[in-house]
Amino acid sequence: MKAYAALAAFTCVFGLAGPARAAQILSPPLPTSIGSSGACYIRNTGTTAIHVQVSLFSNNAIVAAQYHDSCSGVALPGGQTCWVLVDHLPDGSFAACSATSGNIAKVRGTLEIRHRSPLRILVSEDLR
Amino acid sequence: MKTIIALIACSCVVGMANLSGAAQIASPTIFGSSTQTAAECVVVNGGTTNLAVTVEILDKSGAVLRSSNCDGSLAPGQFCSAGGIINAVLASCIATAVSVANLRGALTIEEPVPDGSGGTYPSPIRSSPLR
Repeated sequence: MKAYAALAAFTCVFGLAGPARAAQILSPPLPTSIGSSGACYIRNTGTTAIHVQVSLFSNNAIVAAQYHDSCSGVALPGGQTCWVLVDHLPDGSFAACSATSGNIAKVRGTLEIRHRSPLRILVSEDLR
Repeated sequence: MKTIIALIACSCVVGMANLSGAAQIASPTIFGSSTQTAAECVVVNGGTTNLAVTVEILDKSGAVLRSSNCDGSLAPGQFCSAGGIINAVLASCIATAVSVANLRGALTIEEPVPDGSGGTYPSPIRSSPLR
């Protein structure tokens, strides 16, 4: 009977969790202005390298040539930061940033909406 | 022992039940000065399935100033907003959906910025997340 109780508890706890897999953190969306740029900084707070897939996206099209991604395709060492920069976000739109990793608990991120010239931060929000 | 098993099963079911039903994320109330009269509350669906979402901007008394039902359904990766000139000084935002686990939102206050041609355009000056 104890075995049944243990099995029931195990199923309850781990049945909901499922196998380990890539998980996501996501920023709140922020509005852009006229002449806005965007930055999403991702930091690996752990001590071992991890792979992180980062996306800075909008409800309107971002020109591929203005999208610069230092995160994808390489391992991010412990304590290091990578980023996605967008030179020109669509005017009067919305933008958000997501990061996906197999070890998302160690990942921190922030999205910034900036005015391009003169360069200054308008608003920012953390990924969670 | 049967009681223990029943208790575990009950806890499991009740725990799962809490995941269903309408849920809400909300911002704190934030302040805009007399020139910072525009507000925008934006949500994004970070999940993988469509979500029925309602977004509302409220005044200090909880009265609805602006709202959107996101056209009935918000697709994965899509944004939805409510906003405009609210002249409220104090404003907050709530978003309601069946599940808010993958929903993110922020309330942003905007102010007019000279465009160099005698006009202005809105520029965000501060934001606060919905949680």
